[in-house]
Amino acid sequence: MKDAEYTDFVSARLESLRRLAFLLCGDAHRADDLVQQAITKLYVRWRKLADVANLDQYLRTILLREFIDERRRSWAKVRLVAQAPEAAARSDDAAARLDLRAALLQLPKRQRAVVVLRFLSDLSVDDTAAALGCSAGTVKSQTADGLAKLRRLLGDELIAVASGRG
Amino acid sequence: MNIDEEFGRHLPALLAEEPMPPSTVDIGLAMTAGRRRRRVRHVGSAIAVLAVITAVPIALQSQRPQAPPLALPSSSPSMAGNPAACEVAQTAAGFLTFNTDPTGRHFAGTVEDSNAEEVARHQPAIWRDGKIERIPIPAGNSGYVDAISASGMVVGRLVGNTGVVVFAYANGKLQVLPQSQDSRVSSVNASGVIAGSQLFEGHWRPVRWRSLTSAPEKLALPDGANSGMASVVTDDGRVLGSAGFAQAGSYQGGPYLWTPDGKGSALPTPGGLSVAVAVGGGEWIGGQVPAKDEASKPDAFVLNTRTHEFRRFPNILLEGEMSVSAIGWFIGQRLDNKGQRVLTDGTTFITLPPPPGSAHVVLDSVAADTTVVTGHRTEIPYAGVIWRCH
Repeated sequence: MKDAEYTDFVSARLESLRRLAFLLCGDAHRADDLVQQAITKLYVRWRKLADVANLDQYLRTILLREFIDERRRSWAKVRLVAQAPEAAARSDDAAARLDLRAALLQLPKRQRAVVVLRFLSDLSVDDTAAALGCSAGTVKSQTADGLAKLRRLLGDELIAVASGRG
Repeated sequence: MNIDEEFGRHLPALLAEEPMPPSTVDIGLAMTAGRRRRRVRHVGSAIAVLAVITAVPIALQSQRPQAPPLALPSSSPSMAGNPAACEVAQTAAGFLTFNTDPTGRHFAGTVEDSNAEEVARHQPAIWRDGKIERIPIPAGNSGYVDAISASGMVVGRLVGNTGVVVFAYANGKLQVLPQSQDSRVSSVNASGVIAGSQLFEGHWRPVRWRSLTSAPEKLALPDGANSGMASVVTDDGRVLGSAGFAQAGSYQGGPYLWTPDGKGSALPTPGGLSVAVAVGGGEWIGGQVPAKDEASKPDAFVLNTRTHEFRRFPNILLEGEMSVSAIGWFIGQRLDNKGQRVLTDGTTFITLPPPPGSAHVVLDSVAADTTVVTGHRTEIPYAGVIWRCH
């Protein structure tokens, strides 16, 4: 596959990838570094990926492995120049967001990845299992454990108020 | 779908408008680095791998410019009537959220240390004399500021691997409140009385700490209610908040008042309208009237806690924790005008402009006399913002 196809493919998915990475690691700078690592790895293999049926899943899996396997690396080494469109900064309740972000960070990495993929990236159990390289049963049990802990940390009311549901 | 799954289904609402800073991802550089890695693989030299990694040009490192502090007027003019205009008076580099006390003299918020471990990334801090004073917290915790009193006492949460506890910080001393596991604090008055909420069997219950050493006192809920939150404690000891019935993803309830002796009573809303009280100031509290359906926007409301005057406004979202002043003005964003941030009484809108070099701000608090508004920029570098209004 050609470079132009790579550029188009990545450009179209960049914001959703950044958001996924941000939810996983809780830090915008590190999120961009994770994405940068993932799309670099994708490019290395790009010419050999013509037969991959689900490139979205493939790229997401690279990103997840980067997140789960990451060590304390020198983040500054891959810090890059800013170039993207300005942030769509709209917010109702910074405190509620920080609550959820803080609560997510209390979950073990794999549990956090499962919750983020299932409920914030809207993946099915099977797709989540494929992305994480584990069984559907593991995804279900990790989901149950992760949600129970989040619910204990956040309570139902925060969700109801944030949803604007009465 | 069990109750936890139902809970999970509503998580996206919390992050639906999570602002993302401008991207620093560079597709071109990924291709350049990818080509190098292909060549390295081709050569098959482990030494070459190291060489390529270390050859990433330092010049490409992004700089995080510090938002320059602007000149702060030496004193805040006292204002008796309605505000007419607001200007940015100061920026406080580093703050993710940024609150004022009711007098507009003390400022505190949460800062981020991106070099820290995940669990210790967020830290509480005071903004004093143009500098950040980090509040020392136990290792392995993140700390979040929730409110600051007229006497400068800061209250907030410590979040660690063992859960959440509430802290108070005054005179250089941090103290974890008794029996504050799984709690959240929302307000502290000039006498040091603290109002908050505690999770109990999956629901929030309103509580009050009368002092830093006293056990939390549960505030009574009316019959039929399983949930309540204390939003504000006023200097005369009243606690204002909400009481109602919550289950996963839905809530029916309304504003509630507890007097200093702990007795509670519902505050009326027109037709018994169910509202979510999210924010307060004292004389007035505010929040959102839930939307009729998923296609509708929730209305904002403010409610006078003494006269029970209820004002409802379409196309405005209240923002912040302490966002209604003593004269009923409040802070929020206009949904009918590109999310413009304003100080308003619902009919007159005073723009709160972003600081120079910024495009987006979110509002956090307004002083009781409406002369000071705080918020934060959502782009990197993060910064708190102080507006002076006159």
